[in-house]
Amino acid sequence: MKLTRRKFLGGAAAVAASSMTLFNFNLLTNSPSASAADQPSEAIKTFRNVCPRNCYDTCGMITYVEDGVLKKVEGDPKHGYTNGKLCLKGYSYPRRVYSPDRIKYPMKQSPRGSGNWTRISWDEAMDTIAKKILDLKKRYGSTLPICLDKYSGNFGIVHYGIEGTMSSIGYTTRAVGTPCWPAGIDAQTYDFGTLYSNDPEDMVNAKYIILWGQNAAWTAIHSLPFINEARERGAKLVVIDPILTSTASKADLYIQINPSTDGALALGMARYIIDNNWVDWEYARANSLGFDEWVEYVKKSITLDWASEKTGVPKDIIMEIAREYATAKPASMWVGYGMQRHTNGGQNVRIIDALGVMTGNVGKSGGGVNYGHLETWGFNYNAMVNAPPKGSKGFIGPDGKEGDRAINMNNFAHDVSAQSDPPVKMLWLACRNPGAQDPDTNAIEKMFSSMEFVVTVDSFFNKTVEMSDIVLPATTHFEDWDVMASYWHYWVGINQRAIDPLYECKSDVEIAIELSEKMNALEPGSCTFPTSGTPEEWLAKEFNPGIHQMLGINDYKELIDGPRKAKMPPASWSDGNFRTPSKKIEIHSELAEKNGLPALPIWVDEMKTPEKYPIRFMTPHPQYALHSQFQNLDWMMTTNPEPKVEIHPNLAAKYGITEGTMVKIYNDLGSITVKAHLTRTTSTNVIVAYEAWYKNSNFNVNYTLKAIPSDMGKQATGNDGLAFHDNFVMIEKA
Amino acid sequence: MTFFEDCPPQVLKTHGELLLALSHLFAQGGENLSQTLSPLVKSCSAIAEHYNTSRLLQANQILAQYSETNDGEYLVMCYEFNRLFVGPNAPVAPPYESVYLSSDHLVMGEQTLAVRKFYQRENLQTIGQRHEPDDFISTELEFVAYLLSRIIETQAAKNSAKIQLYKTLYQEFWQQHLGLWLKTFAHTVSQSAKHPLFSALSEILVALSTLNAPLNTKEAPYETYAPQISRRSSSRCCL
Ligand code: SF4
Repeated sequence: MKLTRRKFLGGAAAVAASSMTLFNFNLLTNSPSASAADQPSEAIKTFRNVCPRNCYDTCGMITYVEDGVLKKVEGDPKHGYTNGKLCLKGYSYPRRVYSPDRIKYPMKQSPRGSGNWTRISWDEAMDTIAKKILDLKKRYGSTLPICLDKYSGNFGIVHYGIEGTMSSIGYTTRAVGTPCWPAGIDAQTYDFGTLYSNDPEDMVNAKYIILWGQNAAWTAIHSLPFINEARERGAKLVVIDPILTSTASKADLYIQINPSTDGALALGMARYIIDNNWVDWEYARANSLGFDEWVEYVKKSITLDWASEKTGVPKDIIMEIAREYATAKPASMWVGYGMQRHTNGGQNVRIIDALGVMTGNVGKSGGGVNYGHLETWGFNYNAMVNAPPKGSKGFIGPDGKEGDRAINMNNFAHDVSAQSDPPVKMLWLACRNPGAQDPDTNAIEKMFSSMEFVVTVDSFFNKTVEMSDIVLPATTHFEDWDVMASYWHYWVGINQRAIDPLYECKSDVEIAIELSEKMNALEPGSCTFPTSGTPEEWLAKEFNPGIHQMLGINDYKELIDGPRKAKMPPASWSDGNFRTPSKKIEIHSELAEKNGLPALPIWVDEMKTPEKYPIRFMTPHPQYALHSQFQNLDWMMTTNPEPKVEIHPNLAAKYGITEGTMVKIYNDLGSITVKAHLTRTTSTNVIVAYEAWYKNSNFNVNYTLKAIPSDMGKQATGNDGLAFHDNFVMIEKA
Repeated sequence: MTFFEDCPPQVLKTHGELLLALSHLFAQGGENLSQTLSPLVKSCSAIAEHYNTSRLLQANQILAQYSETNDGEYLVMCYEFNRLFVGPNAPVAPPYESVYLSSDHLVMGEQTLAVRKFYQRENLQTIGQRHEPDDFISTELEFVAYLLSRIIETQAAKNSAKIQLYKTLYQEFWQQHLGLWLKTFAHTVSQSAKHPLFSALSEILVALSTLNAPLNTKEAPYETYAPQISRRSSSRCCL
């Protein structure tokens, strides 16, 4: 632990060095070992880490450390899915850890947004924050004016200590939901009881693979070897996407579909499968409810001509993939998260689920309608669970219970501003960058400026930090103990502290401990977060017998020898024990109906294109970044120095736009200006820019994005998703 | 011949004070300029007068002017200090050697470890070992100030073996480390400084570098960091 400069400069730090000298050292001190210079370098040590980003792959890593310095990272060969490799982002990690751009010390900005930053000690930071919390509590009679927005910057289990920080000060306001995948989660919850995908390594057994709105070459690169192996064994790869992605370019068949019409394509396929009697009646009838009712609907309401017209996919192609998918046995579908970011996104996933059920591909090795899973996440969430201080006043929910006040993460700006009893006055942001990632950036800016106090914990200076009063420097995962599970593969890995935290960075749990000490010093009993325990002890508390059994270990320390794969069958739902109320696949879902949705996976129209804004602006995940992480690093800035908007040449010509022209993209919410790249990878009514946060740039795709909810998400995640891809704009030469 | 060969001890001492004053200024940060500027001005005046260098004198006048400024101005200077050297934005001129000299332009590079080994030769290590990069400008400046103090001490004791040892160490450290990046660092500062204090500070770093220039056998590499520095601007930095 570094002494603060004030501490060692403040004292009369006269340290005698090698021999007699009266030199006053401030930064140097005696080295413990004599003739240390002659000693050889420490041997290279290796540590196990896990990439904790919001990424399918959650890669196992081997970290090489020499003399306390992280030298390089590699994929962990003991990790069966990662298989000794990382992606471009993963290999760039040393550049993230040792970037001179990292936030190094607690800093205070006055006033917020001015760029006037002063360095403060941790003590001053905690004192300021603690006093603000206590002041708000006194003024409003509760800690509800304090709002937490945390999401996926680091998915490590111990990082749930951020929620624990808030619980320990009382009942607070919480941004609830997930911007990523909630509509699809609900779809699978209605159909199967929860989301539960096959082991992705099992894709090798597929005879036919459809990647539906899934750009694995950019966002889940470690799945490709399994897909390729299946192809070597004869499987055909079909990619359905509105954009000809890198993944699509590798496919045997690429289908460019009109956005938001995936359900129509699946229904067209279903109709052709029924007409040709390729239905697995036995599986569907034995395992599901309402199947025949849905078949009747398809027969009555769906035609191939309609499906073709709606989706833009030629009829013969629909017939081809319907036949191939239904007869390949087993055939695997991977449903990407992009396709459910529409006002009918969840419903489209339900229709695709039904396609899997009707062909008997659910519960089969080499099959599945694969979306994601949370089967391996059964940790204790010890850092997250703290009782509120005695006498805490909470929000009385509709069920009459007192607790936190939930607001919608996917309409954060609006929901924060809408609170009045009591209003939200303070924001705490960790693992989250709403300044760059939330819809309607103008509204976010306005909401932030209305706050009394904003605290952000982060590693780099991004848009959210820019709008904060205090920023606290976060450790990277190499400086922390943690354990990580994946929402895609079945592996779980330990994350060791490979290097000491740089500068004055602290983990979220360490921050909570400091805050608790300060709050209790100022007002005894005001914070229940425990103030003891080493980072490794905190990690140890996350394990339980269930996890041990699932991973076949007796102690978390065994994970230091290598990550473990959960003992689960390769095919999800192979036991036929669905987790719906009826314990069967609910093609007819009463729960969906109760929630105001169609009971059956029937077609629901896509959002109508507004006349004034006829161009769809899609903002999918980037290649060189993960949301607002990575793109700011030097390698990425060299490789991909500036954002571009992809425009079909025919559309560009209409507006006099040529390659490299600056284009203004706008609607009534806001605008962005970005350089044009002409390409036929997108269609004539869809423009594409990849969401990312570039270093020293105000580029942000969300200025035109309305907080329009997707159709599902409430049931399993608390709030509906966000129709990111129903973003309609006009363009002109800037 | 190096500057200290024929220097009276008093001048060496002043030189050491300048090194230390600079070390303190960077270590104590923008928030403590009201305490760290005056000692810098004092030692700088002495050096400037001794060598009669008008550029240094001019730069020092600016420093002197701001060392007696009001609280508001100190705050402005503090913000600028943090923008240039600390953050939380990506600092314009990160004060670490390896950022300028390593091919990776990162902290904790090969230079950082080389500097660590150098300190170890004198049985020293940084207080913030493994948290703060060892090649932080303040630490390097403190180390050379220390070596200078040893030269003075051993000269007083007429211990010629030790005198030579410390002169060699001083020379080596300057040649292998500070002398290789200080000017580049100073240029990065002068290119982006929005407050006169930091342009003046940059001049002082250049002067310091030039005073020690005879120690440098290698040409300081340019454009190692900060792509905004053009090669052309390098010619205007000599005293
Ligand atoms: S970003 Fe994803 S693929 Fe890349 S290293 Fe991390 S987990 Fe692996």
